[in-house]
Amino acid sequence: MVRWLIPLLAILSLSHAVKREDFKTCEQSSFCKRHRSITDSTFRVQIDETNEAIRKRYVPEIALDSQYKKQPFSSVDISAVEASIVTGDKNAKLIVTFDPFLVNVLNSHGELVSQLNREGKLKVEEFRKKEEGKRSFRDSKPFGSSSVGVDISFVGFKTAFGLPEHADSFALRTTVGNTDPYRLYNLDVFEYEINNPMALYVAIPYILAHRSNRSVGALWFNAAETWIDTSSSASSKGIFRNVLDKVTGSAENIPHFDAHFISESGLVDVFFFVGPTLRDVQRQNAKVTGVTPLPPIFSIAYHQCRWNYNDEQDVAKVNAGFDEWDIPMDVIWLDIEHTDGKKYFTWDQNKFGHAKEMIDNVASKGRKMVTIIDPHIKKDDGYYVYKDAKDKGLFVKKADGTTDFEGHCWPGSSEYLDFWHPETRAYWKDQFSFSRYVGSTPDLFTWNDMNEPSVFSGPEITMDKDAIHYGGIEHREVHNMYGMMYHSATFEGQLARTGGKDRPFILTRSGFVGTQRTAAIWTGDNTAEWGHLEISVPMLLSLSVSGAPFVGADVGGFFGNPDEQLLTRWYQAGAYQPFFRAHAHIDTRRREPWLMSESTRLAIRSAIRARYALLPYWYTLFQEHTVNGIPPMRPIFYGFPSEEQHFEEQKQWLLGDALLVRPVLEKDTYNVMVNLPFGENGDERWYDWETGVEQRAGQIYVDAPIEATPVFQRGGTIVPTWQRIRRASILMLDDPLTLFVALDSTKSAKGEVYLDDGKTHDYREGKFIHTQFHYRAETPSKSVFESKVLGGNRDAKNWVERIQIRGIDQAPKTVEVIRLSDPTEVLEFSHDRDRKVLTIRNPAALLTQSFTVNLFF
Amino acid sequence: MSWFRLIILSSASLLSVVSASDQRLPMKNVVGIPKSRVVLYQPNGENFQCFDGSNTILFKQVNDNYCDCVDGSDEPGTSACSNGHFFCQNLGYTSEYIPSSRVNDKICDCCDGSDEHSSGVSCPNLCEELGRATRVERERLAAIAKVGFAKRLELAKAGKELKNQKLKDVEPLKEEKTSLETYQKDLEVLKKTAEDLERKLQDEHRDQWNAGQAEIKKKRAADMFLEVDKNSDAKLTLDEVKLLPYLDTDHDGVVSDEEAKNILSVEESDIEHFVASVYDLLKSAKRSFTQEKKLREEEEAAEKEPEPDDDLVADEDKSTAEEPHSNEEVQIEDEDEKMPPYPQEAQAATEEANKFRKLYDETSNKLHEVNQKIKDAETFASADFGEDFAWAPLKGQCFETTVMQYVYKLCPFEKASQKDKGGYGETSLGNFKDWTGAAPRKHSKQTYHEGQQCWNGPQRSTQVEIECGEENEIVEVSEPAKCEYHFTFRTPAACNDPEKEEPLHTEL
Repeated sequence: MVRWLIPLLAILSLSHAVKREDFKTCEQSSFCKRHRSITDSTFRVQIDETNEAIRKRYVPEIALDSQYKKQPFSSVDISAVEASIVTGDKNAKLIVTFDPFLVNVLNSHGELVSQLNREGKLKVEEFRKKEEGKRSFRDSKPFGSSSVGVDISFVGFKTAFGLPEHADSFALRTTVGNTDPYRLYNLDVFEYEINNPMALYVAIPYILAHRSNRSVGALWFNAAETWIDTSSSASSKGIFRNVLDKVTGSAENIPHFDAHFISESGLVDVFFFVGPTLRDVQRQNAKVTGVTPLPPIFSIAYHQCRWNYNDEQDVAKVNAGFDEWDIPMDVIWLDIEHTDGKKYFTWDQNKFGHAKEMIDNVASKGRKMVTIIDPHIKKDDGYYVYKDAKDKGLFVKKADGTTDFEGHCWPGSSEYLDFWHPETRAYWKDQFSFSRYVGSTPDLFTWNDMNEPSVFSGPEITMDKDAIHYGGIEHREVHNMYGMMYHSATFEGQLARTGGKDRPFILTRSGFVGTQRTAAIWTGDNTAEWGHLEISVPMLLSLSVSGAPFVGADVGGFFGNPDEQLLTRWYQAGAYQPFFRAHAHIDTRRREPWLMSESTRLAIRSAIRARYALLPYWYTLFQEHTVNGIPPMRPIFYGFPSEEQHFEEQKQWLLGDALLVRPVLEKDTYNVMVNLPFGENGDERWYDWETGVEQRAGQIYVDAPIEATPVFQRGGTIVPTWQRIRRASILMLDDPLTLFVALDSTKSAKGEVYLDDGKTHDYREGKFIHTQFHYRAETPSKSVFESKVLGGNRDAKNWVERIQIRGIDQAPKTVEVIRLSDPTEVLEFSHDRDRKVLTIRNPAALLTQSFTVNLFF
Repeated sequence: MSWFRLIILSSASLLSVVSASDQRLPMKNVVGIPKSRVVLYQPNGENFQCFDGSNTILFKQVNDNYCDCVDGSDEPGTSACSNGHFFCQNLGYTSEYIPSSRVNDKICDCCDGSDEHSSGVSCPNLCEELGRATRVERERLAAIAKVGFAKRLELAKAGKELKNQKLKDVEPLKEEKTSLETYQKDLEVLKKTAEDLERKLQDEHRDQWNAGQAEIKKKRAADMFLEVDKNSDAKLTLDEVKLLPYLDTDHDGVVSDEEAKNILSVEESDIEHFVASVYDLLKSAKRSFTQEKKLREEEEAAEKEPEPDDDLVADEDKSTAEEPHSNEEVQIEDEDEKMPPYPQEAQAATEEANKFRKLYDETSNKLHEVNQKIKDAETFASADFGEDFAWAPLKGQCFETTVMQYVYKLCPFEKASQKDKGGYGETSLGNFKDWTGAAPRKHSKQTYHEGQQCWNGPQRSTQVEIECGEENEIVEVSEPAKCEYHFTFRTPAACNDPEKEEPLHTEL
């Protein structure tokens, strides 16, 4: 790891340029710029005050992946007017002109893709000792205003995405002249409204810009309150002339997407992920901010939650209900009422006096439980966590830096743990040990809520900005990462309780850059309305493209009572979204599926079962994410990066590269328009996931009766499934696979499957099985299906019990399987001429050994 | 769909592959079916036909851990068919079918452990133990049922007696009803006669007086006409009217044309016109003017005096003190406009009519009461108190239980409620709606609805689950969802005859 600084000469030139650039608050300072290249076409640009600054600006370095690697530039050329810097991989270039100050980002094709300060909006307010400006009685502003801002242009791009979390469209809109800027300031918003740029629970100041086959990403790395003004427009090339003349040809009207980032504090600190393709950008972002480690398999199955399951009997009944109605379910959740007076890590002895027995009972069917643990600690000397934290000084302090900050939350008067304090993190970690958390077991996991933090008595229901964290950090500097600091400490605790053996599972409401490394995110307190169901798709896509793939929305809607139609449709959508949990407010009616009419119950049951059938595919997608950062839930353009008509699509999405999902999101709708992409060569083939019947590409209308979810398989893919739907995911781990092979126009298809114990970190020692499938027409009279082990040494018992090939006109004459060290065996098969589906009966071949199935025509 | 059957060269490899988990099963002994179905799994040559006819397969493909039949009939012993069922024989306990997905899932579902035949998990046989425990439990329940049923018979007896008593009580009431109805009819006639006379005499008197009044009015109007008709030309003009100070409604000291025209809408008014259209207006204008003048004077007087703190009270005092005085003056003129009392004869007729009215009303009330009693008794008699009326004696009783800080109360057929132990006042958890058990066990559940509205929620409601018990008692209270309560109520009224209960399962 090498930290690479621009030579002194550049710094002097830059500061000189800055002074002439009318930065009115910069009179007594100069800027220090450090440009670092990270491996893989990534630049980091920082603009800081000089060492004379009275206070160091906060950099949320801890939010980055500790594994991320820096690399020396491959070349740095500095002239009197500009500096030209090339990344270590030689695939991206930065040209910094000094006067006017402008940073140009060029990709490996030499295309100008982004510019910093093209509009000259760079502005840095320096720390001052005296208070200045408008003073609110709550905010003492002891260091004056220290805001920073700059504009970032994505040159050549009309559409951009990201900036989660907002209940708004997937494609970022133009806020300039239309609405307030997008706001990123983590808040506990009661009954949030949809279709507006108001701040919610999560802040990821990341924008992904995309055009046909080109992408670029920029991360505004700042944890303070941030506003982003955006606009999409086109300009004549004059404004880009400096750079364009050098590197590109002529284009008269060049589209550009501009984002003006404004933060209350912190550094101007920007990562450019230069691409040039979507997958490159996703990977480059993942290398810096990290990925979601492989989740335990139960966590990607179905979760049953409610505020609140009342007592142990209630939990037992719900658990038994799923068995009685034969609906798979993996996790039962307990909200705040399970505690003794909202003192987390305790149990209401009247209702949950036998916690361990209760959990063991649920776990005896292969299921798990989750309890809620929030960061506000009840002010009660009789509560050990409060007393310990008080004695050790682990709470966030008021502006005076010495008295504990207090606020109201669920338990009443509460204090807030300071997760910047190393001792807090150590203490918190210990609380999850089985001996400290009485009643907990390895089958109990954690839900971190209210971690914006929510302070009922605070300004905007959160913490005062002048509150003080460990090391004198002001809350304003770090507000947006409080939630992440909290859930990452929880993660450490869960990891430690089994000595690192089992994988943790944490759900968080609040998040920041890097949240994905330690928690799944849900979109908070939504409402049982059709609009909220519909907006869940763009919300989850925004998070997914911004590096947080393990995301979901409360199925059914948190507030209010969904009617059976809405509940059914929500289950159908949720079944194809990464985090799949039903949840409900305490004031709502009970919603367990068997309380509904029979037809609704059956429709919900089949939606949940469809999720379980696809678990091998989901699991493989999460594994793929750990490798290249690509999220399981993807916008359509991830699979079709050159088809512009899909860029803003937010009703349908891709699950991996194989499935296209278009659930019904509208009331009283039983026929929906699906837009199946034509593909780069216009020869894309699509198949109805359920029946295997081919569907033509383009806009088609499909029937969607109440029990149906329109899902399509893309030609050229192979999807692994489990068809033996059991009570809980872990019980299916050893089950045989059914493979769905969808042929493309060349009569071939590819896919893979990754499986392991679904629970521990043993996969890191090779205890997994990763197998690739490939089907192709070798000659007109012979097609071959190959299963090839890519890696892993898990002694997996799974075999392939069925191969269904879709889009095959003609029945073969003979089908045979050739397995390692076994004689060749002829297989039975059936061919459905109408549906053009061939089903091959039980090759009975283990995933752990490569095998071949030959089809002779 | 058609299956192309091909020669199976060898199944050795298949065995070796799946043996680790779901072993190939022996053919002769088909796993997962009850004895009664064994006959369905006899090889027919070397073939097996799916029960739904969807496919014909080799018999050795039955229970080979691959699902060939749409109805799952070929795999009763494995988890291969997602819609299949596995039969747990559970000797010593109750036999049952479980979903195929629970076969070999490493969880023991059948108490005999037969569902985990190839998963590597060894399940203890718990059937004997469970059977014993179930027998003990059944015996316990049977004992309760025995005692309870004896009590139920008593309740039913009491219930029937109550019903009979009510019906018996109804008979004299019915007679009373008939006689009351006759009496009421008679009274109606008498009342009408008396009232007719009363009305006739009163009308006569009133007509007479009205005629006199018209004369008086005419005379007074004529007097006033003369008074206003200053030039005595038998015509009133605007100028003459303008001389009347009390028409100065805006109190500016002058009677304007507008003010005068409000009273006199024509150029000239002769005596007929005056009586018909002007006199009443003038009279009321005079009256208002006098009243207003008084009020103004009072206000002026009040302003001169220093106000006490409680000026409102002072104002009220004054106005109430002055009121009678101002009314008095107005009344003087009105008094002779009041009709004199009815003459003796008319008053006597009213007394007579009153007598019959009172009698009629009393009789109607009594009849209503009697009807209500009859209706209550009939409602009671026809109410659903169970087939044997055993629930009848519970109506009118209430039962309580305390859970944490709350006292919950159930008054069957009336209401459910909740009360804070230390607090006052009950919160209604609903009023009796109906029996709501699913047929044929209609009497296993009652619903109480339309209780007190919840803040931010629905009206409270309560489901009462009913079980057999030796005593009447609420044994469980919960609130599964906000403001939706659930009681379990035990009562002998729900105990069935142990003799007639389904015999214990033979396998127990």
